[in-house]
Order: sequence, then C-alpha cells, then structure tokens
Amino acid sequence: MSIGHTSSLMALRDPDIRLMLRVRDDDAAAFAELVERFQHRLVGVMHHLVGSPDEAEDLAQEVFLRVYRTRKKYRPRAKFSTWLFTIANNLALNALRDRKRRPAVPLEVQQSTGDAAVPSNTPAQTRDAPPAHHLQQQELADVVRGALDGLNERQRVAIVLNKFEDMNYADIADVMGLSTKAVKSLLSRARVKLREALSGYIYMDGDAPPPDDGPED
Amino acid sequence: MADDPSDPPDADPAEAEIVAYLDGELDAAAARRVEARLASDPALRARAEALKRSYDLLDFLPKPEPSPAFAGRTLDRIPAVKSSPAAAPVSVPVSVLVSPPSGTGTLVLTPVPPPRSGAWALALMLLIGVSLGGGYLGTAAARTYLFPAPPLPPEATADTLPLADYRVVERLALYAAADDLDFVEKLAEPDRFGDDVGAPSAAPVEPDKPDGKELDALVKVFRDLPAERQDKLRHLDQQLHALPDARRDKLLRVLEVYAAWLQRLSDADRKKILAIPAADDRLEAIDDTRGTLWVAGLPAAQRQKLKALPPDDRGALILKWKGEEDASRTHWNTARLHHEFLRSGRPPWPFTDEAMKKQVLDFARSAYHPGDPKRNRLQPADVTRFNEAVERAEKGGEWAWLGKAVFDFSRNTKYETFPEAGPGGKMVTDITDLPARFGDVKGMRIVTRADVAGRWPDFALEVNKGLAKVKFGGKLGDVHLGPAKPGEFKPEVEQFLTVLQKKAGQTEWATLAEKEGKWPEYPQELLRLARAHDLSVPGAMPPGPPSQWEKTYSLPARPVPRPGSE
Repeated sequence: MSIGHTSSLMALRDPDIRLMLRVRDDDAAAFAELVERFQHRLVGVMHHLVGSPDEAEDLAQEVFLRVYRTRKKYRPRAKFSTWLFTIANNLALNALRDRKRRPAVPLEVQQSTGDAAVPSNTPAQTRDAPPAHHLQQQELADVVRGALDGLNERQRVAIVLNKFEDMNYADIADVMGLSTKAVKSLLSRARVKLREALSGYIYMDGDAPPPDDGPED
Repeated sequence: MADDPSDPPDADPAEAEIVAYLDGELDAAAARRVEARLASDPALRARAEALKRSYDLLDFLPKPEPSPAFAGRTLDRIPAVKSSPAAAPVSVPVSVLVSPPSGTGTLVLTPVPPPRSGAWALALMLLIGVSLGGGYLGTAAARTYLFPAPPLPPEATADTLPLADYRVVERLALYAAADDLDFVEKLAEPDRFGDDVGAPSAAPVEPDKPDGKELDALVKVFRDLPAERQDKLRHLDQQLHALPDARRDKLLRVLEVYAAWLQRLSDADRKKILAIPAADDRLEAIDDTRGTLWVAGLPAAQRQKLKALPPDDRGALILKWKGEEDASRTHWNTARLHHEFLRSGRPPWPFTDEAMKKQVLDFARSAYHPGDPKRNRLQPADVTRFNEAVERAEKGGEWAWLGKAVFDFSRNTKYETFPEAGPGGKMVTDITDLPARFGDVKGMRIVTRADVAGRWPDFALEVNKGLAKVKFGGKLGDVHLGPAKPGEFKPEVEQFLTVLQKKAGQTEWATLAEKEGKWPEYPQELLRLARAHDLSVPGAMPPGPPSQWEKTYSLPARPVPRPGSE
C-alpha cells in the first residue's frame, strides 16, 4: 500500500510508524511485535490511571484490539505513540466515568488508603514530626496513589501522560483533543491539587517547611 | 473541547506559569520572567518548590509491569495471530544440507531462506498436487494423504472460508506433507530436521500470509481434500497450538525445513517418499534419502575414499564425518552470530559494558578454572576453545565467541556448577575434606575417578554418587559435602537468597526449605527456582537473566535484536 511523500518521510524516521504500517498491511508478526514493544508503557499508564493491575491489563488489551480492528484506517500523520495513547485515553476515560457512575464497585486502592485527602488526624500532618520519616515506601506509595485518585479523570490522564510518558503539552493536547492552553490549565490545577494532598509528605529530609501563607485557593 | 464540569473554573495564572516553567514549556522570555518573580518572592518560591516536590513523589508509585501472559492473551484474541512471540522482522536463514546438482559437487551448508511467502506455499502445493494428480500414485492411502479429485465447490474462495479453517489454510503447505503430531515430533528429532532449525527463541514461524488469488487457490486445495483429511489437518493445527509457544514454533520450523527439503528433491525422490502410506516407513525412506544425498554431496575425494573402504567400515567413517560437520556447523553459526553483531556495530549482550565483560570472565574462571591445572574442570578441547574465545574478545573485540562458549559450558551437564561455600559453610573437594571415618573412601571404592580430586563440585558429586551406590547413608550419617542452607554460602549468594525469597511463591520457598541441609538437592532446587524466575545465582550461573542468554546464544544465530528491545 503506498503512502504519501510526507508520510513516507515521517515513517522512515519513526520505526513505530513503519511497524504500524506493516500491521495495517495485515502482517501478523508486526502486530505481535507492536504488542511486545508497547505493552509495558500501555499497561503502566493504564495502571496509573485506574489503580488496579487487572483492570489495567484489560484496558491495555482493549487498546491493542482496537488498534488491530482499526488498522486499515491508520494514517501516519502524527507520532505513532500519540495515536496509540489517543485510543488509550478514550478507553480509560470511559472506564473511569463508568466507574464513577457505578460507585458500588469499590476502588481497590480506596479500600486500603481511604480517600485521596489525607485524614487530618493522622500524625502525618503534624509538622514537628516529619511524617515521611516514618513512612515505609509502600505506605508512601499508597498515599501518592490516593492523591492521584483524588484528581478528576482528565487531570489524572494529563498528569500520567506528562509524568510517566514524558509527554509535552502539545502531545497531551493531541491525545486528549484539547488546546495546548487547556492542557496547561488542566495540568496546573492538577499539580496544585497534588501539592495540597501531599503537602504533609514533601519535606522528607528535615527541611524547614515553607512559611505558612494560609490556605491556598 | 469544553472542560470537564468537575474541573474548577480556572487555574491561577501565576501558578499555571510556574507549573509550565517547571515542565520546561515556557519560551525563554517567559521563563526569565518567572525566574525573576521566584527570585524576589520567597513565598512563591516555596510554593514552586512544593509543586516540584509533590510531583517528584509520584516516583514512589510502583512501576507496574504487564504479567508475563499478557502479550500471549492479547494475541490470542486476534483472529489468525495466535500468540507467537514478538517477531523480529528479519527472516532467519535455515541451514539445510543441499545436494549438489551433479556428482562432483562439494558438501555445502547453505543458508536457505525459509519458505515464507504465499507464492512459495502455493508452488509447493501445486508441486505435490501435480505429483499426485498426474496419476502417479495408485494407493488409496496416498490418495487420502493428499489430493483426490472430487467435484469442486464453485464458491471456494477465502471469503467463504470459516474463520476456524483460516489458519489451517494459511499453513497448508506446512501441514499437507505431515500426518499428525506424532509424525511431526519424529521429523523434529535431531538426526532428522530438528538440528536444521533454530532454537525455540529464534524468530517465530509466521509465514507471510498468502493473499488474494494465492489464498483462494489454497482454499480450493483444502476444500478438495476428503473431509477426513481436512479434519486431520485441523486436528494437527489444534494440537500444535495446544503446545507451549516455543515447542510449537520449533515444530513449525521443522515443517518448514521439511517442506523446503521435499521441494528440492527430484520429482522421483519426492514421489517415492510421499507415496508411502505408513508414517514409519515414510520416515525410514526420508532417512535413507537424506543419507544418500549426504554421501552424494561429499567432495569427490571423500566419496572415493568411502568407496575404497570395505562396506562394514563405511558407517564408522560416515559417522565421524557427520560429527565433524556438526562441529563446523556450530562454528559457522557462531561466526554468523558474531557477524550480525559486527554489522550492527556493537558487542552482543552481555558484553555491552566493561563491568559485564568482567563479570562473565570472572564467572567462567571461577566456575571452570580453565587456567588452573589443579582445579580445571573443562575438557582439553574446551580449554582451548575458552582461551581462543578470550583472546578473540580481548584482542579482537569479538565477544560473541566468548558468549557462546560460556553459554555452551553452562548448558553442558558435565560442567554442572553449584554455589561455593562461604565462611559459614564447608565444601568437599578432596578426600582430606571428608570426616576421618571416610578415610577408607578410596578403598571402599566410593570415589573411583582420580581426575575429580581438587575440583568443585565434581569431587563432591562423585562422593555423593559413590555413597548412593554403596548404600552408606545409614552408617555414615550426615555427610556435609557442600553448602546446603542459608548461612553457608558466600555473601553474594546469601544476598541473592533474600532477593529470590521475595520473588518466589510460598510453596516454592517451602519446597526449597525442605531440602535444607541436603547436598546437592538444596543447591539443585535453588538453581531450578532461580531459573524459573529468570534469575542468576551468583557464581553458579552466568551473570544476567538466563532467558537473555538463551535468546542471544541459542543456535542458530539469532538476528540482531531489534531496536527498542533492550
């Protein structure tokens, strides 16, 4: 199957695009390679988004199946990973919204860590005993997981893509179908929220906490 | 797109600038403005610092990995993309013995591109089909085996093919000349085609899919088969796909090589073989034909020599020559492996950095002691091989030879390695290491081989074997032949035990614990468990994941790892 001049150049530069073009042309081995190549990133991102390993794998699998089903429509316009994560974004947002509509299904992490906000009566909040000193890595991971779950779905997607996929604002905008400006705003609100949720945990090495300038926002 | 209603209305613009600054998203002028504000405003600086640190905390989240079965499960859900391991898009040439066109040819090991295109499949089908359809064969069994001529359903095209038959049709050229799984397993014996194909980890068999008219033609051929034969082929396909991935891929490769071999035979030879109804008789005919072709492919001088010998001596000489050929094939494959890496401009794994080079050399030297006549465990030929490999690596930068040598030694049952004892343990390498009551160990013929003295773990293994043979156990009580529980190993192995415990399941760990104090049972189980979790026991296994060794050094040469796979 021929592709245009520009896309040819793009495809030559990006081995992932070359691979996807082979998938488009029904090369089964190429699809196996694609799964092999992207499974770690995709399962990782999904896990950060939904918090449960099983659900993350189900979603990642669904992404790959969708890639396969829509392979004939693939056009090498952008970076391949942007296209892949656009599919992932849609599926993840749907899953997260479904979950919100069916609150009877408890979030795995919420069972162990409680709500995103750190309960005010935990010793972690007292500044004269920096809590992080006493936290094991696993507990800290649980707290951070809770903070991430405290973000709304789109904030979470933007944060996960930015932090773990190292995506810049323009790529996140492509994936999420937003303007770059909207991504900037989304990430800013998310980061402020994370700062609030994790404020008790960020001074780990005996640093003096910053001057208390009152509640933010 | 409108923002989510659950988003707060607006982000604080100052804060948004700081976040963008931290993310490196501002242009130079905007970044300078933010820096100036931060420099003059301690409270803002503190907020920026908190933004950064809270973000850094996300690094504490565990790094989730897909489960090992994930890729397989995903591929299983795609029609006709059954879980083959991810393929390098490079086709692996397969060595097959090729008969020369005339009697004056030389023995050659020629890399033959494996049959991977639909056109090839069709060609073979037609070749076999023509052989049989031309009325050459009279037997009913052979007719069932291949193609009779019932009326053709006019609509036989790929579009009308049930999905379940799709894969069978795609692989028809491979399956057509096979009876059942048992037959394929027999074809895969090393003396037949088993040695001609790659190791399980070589690129998987996923022939280029026949397409368009070729596919339709294959569909027609399949539909023309008697129902019973169709069922047999479906059954073979199912049996193959019920096998572990590596085994299935190996058998498919065997079928490829077998089909390629059939295709290269003269019409007469091919017809003779395909016409034999009983599988065992056919296998015998395959062996005979291969033997004849092999001898016919020898250089003229060798053939003369063979001819001059009395018939009884010919067999021995043929065996000797075949052994030499195997050795040169190993050599050739390693050369090709090295060449692949040379072409890619980098050394093969694990010689990618100085530390790993040293670790592998240290392992080989401490496990086999090739440079120490008193403790050396390698056969003379292997000592030479090792020394040459080290020289090629260190002087010529050709590391593949060393990797292959270390890999082969580590897989050689003669060179079993067990972790050595640390300060808290003991190991027996000589008679003097045994308790006094073993003084008569020699007289009692417990150790009969003199060449094991001073060598670990060979001497201990020999004592263990001898004790079992003469049924000492009860009388001599607990013989401490080597380290067999935590606390008795070298520190690096002790440390490894804690790593392994975290990875192993409770049952696995309990099985290991049950063997505490028993040598060699405990270290054997330890090694088994490590392999199961793809870990290397320091000093007892080549450093690095066993699967990576397997992947890189199994024969024949594997193509250069594809970009992004490391």
